[in-house]
Amino acid sequence: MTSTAKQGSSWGRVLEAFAWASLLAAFIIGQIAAQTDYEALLKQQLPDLELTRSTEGSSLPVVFRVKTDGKPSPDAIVMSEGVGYGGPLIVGIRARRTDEGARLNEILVLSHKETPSFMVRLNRGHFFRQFAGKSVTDNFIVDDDIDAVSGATVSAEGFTAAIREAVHLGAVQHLQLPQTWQEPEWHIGSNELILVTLFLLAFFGAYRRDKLARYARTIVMVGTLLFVGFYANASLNLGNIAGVFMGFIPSPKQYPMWWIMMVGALGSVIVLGRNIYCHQICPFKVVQDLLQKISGVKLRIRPEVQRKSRALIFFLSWISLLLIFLSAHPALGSYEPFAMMFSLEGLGIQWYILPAALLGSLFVPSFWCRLFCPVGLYLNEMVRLRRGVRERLFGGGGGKPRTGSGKTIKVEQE
Amino acid sequence: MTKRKENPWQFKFSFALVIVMLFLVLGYFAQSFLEIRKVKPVRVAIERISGAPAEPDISPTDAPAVEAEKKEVPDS
Repeated sequence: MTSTAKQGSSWGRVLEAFAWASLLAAFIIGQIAAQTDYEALLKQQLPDLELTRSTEGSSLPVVFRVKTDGKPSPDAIVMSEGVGYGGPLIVGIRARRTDEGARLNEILVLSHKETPSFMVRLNRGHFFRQFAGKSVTDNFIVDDDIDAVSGATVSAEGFTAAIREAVHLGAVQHLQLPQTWQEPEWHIGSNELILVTLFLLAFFGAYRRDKLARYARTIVMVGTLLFVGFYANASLNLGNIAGVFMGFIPSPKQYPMWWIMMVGALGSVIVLGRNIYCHQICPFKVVQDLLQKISGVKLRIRPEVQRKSRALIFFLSWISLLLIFLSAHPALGSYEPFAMMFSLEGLGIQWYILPAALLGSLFVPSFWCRLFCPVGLYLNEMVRLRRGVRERLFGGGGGKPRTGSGKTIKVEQE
Repeated sequence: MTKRKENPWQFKFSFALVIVMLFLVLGYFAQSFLEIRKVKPVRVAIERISGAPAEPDISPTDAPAVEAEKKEVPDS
């Protein structure tokens, strides 16, 4: 090795160490800052009310008695936390005591980490309005007595779960009401079955090379665009991955589709050594392929840009993760245009990133995947890592690591 | 084996697309950073550690949502 190469290698190590150290520091600062002062949060929203905390300790739900003009009021505010698509959310529920128990008369969204487009959808769909006037003994179950909002199902489930937990515990502990409501059941329905079927068809299409496999790939392509993209808007992004590290994991009961997606994407890498998600399930990849078919233009990228694309994505995802960890808000740093593509809701510069990505894909095959997508890079790196581990454990002969479409990783990262 | 003919025009155009996208993504980061600064996470953390009254870490995106809900929900 020449001295210049050695110098370059040691600089690389220093940069790598700095990147890891800065991410760790951002994570710690973000976690400290994310500790919630419930009382301050509530008082900021309701400055005119005199609030008295009726239970000690920091465990949720926290109940506040309300006094107006120094006199006790029939109102109480219950605060609770849930997990949405982007992370934890805090709601305050203002309930008023009645002869038969209590009824909800206000929902305060005090803090959330949801993608802004999902919140816009919930508000436009008047999601929170349906809670007004409900009794604390109602079920509060999505698709039962609460309607979800299309394209923001997980956020709706998260808010509903937080409200349900708070009002039901309040009903039992503070109003001594008997449990007359139903508990939510496992939510394995047609959506989950469709997603599992898409993954199974994708596995089938990745392993076979016959006519049947071609049909399977076509079904997956159409299915994933319509279902994973436009219907569920459940593409994986960097925020999802960062959220796992921060412990923002929805329960399988609340959001089984998240689990199917994660198990399918990571499972195909770990068990099969293939990146099935990027090549077959990602709906944005389908959009890019369709744009390529429409334009028929396949511009080449400068070789040095091609070679440096891996470093570029690592650099972008480092900044993104710093922002996510520092703010403890996965949606803030996720620069991918997926959520916006399929909901057509976005904020600020996101409105320019999506058209630019689509324009790039019109001229350069898989423009976003090859040059900017962190999820694709990480999954491919996992395939590479798995191959390395396998070779160490069982010796060479593993051949080139293959992705879901049968292309090598080198082709993928070109 | 024939060597693929290099086309500088193609390279220039695709490179320009990459640069535009890169600036947009960096712009998005700058926008996100400004959002985070409004929340002041570091200041909140220091104040809490020192035991001073804490500033609520509500996201700036929360306020319009809360206001909208307040208007929408009738007071029974």
